[in-house]
Amino acid sequence: LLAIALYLGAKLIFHTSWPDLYDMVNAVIGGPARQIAKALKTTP
Amino acid sequence: MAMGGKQTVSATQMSILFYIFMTGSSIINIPGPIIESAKNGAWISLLIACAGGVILLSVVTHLYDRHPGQCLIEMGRTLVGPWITALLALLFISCLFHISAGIVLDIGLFLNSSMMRQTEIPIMLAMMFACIAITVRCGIETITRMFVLLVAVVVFSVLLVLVLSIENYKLSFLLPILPDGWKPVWLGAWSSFGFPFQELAIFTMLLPYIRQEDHKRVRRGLFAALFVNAFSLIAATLSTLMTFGPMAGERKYSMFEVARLIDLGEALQRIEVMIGISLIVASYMKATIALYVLSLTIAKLFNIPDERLVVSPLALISFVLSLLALRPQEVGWVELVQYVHPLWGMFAFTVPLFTLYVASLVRKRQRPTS
Repeated sequence: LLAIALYLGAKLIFHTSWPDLYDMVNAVIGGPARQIAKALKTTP
Repeated sequence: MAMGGKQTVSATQMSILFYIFMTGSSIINIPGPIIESAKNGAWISLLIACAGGVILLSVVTHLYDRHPGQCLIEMGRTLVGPWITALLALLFISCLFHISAGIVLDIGLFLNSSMMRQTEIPIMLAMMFACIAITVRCGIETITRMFVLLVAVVVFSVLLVLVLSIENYKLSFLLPILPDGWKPVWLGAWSSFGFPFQELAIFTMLLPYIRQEDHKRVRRGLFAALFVNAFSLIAATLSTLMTFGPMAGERKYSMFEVARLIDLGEALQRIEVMIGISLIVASYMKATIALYVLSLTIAKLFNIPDERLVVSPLALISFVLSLLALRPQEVGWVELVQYVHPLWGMFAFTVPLFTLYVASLVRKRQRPTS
């Protein structure tokens, strides 16, 4: 757990492009989630 | 009362804890985004989302009735085996990290935008996480006893604001109910099902802490808490709609904005600070429950005897994650909570719950023949 915290801390401090939880979630379900929202949104 | 080293709570306390978790930060955060999506049909969205919550809670209580002493991880090991349980637990844990980080981040953003504009958000987040970690380490008995008192403060503040705002309400703002048809209502229902109704699945980790003699009473208490929660959210949403009308969707912390308008004869004004305190307290309680369940899940998954051992590192990870969520990215924070969170919750909470439910039904059918 401490290793994960260090990894995330290093990513935050050094602004690296290493993937974090949000990057992974966006990559996997970000697209479908936006598709659902788009399908349900109306443009009056 | 602690029995044999294990902390336990009564059915009533668990129901109150459930109400706190479901209503916590959502009563202040929910109305704005839902109204933005569903306009005047926001209250219908909440009713639909609540119906989804009722189905999920039925599954939770069914599993609890069939396996009273077991949490989600233990049930999973019994019903679907250790590997599928580990996979489902990873999804569950990912969303719990997001909930813990997100709730505290919301407090920071709220304080930074309305009260303490000069203070850096990381400082507020660090202090909140330290506070939450200390509370989690105290255990579920202490958490429950303290939260029963704190929830009274939140409910009182919200009720006071709802009642004192009556003179600002305009019933005509509620019409037309469906200005753009049903689609926006479904979008609102989807968002509000994700936050907070879908999150009720985390109580599969807490229900084993109910005292043995209270097992049969808890079902009624949980459903009552769910209905009171839906009523509270709908009341806050209607209040926002009747106060701001077409502008209601643009108000982020809508209850805070509703409270700002209260001005009774110059004697009673600026009571929005009560809603500010409520938001902080309610979010603190919800984040504590989320972090507690997170530590419990990890401890059960890796067979760690004492969940308190992992609380501090988990709080540290959640703290860093909350800072990472602030970065400018493709999907912004608000969009993430509103649109990505429901789908995330679907995989993290609903899928594991229904997998265990189906496995439980299959086992039940197999048992009489074997």
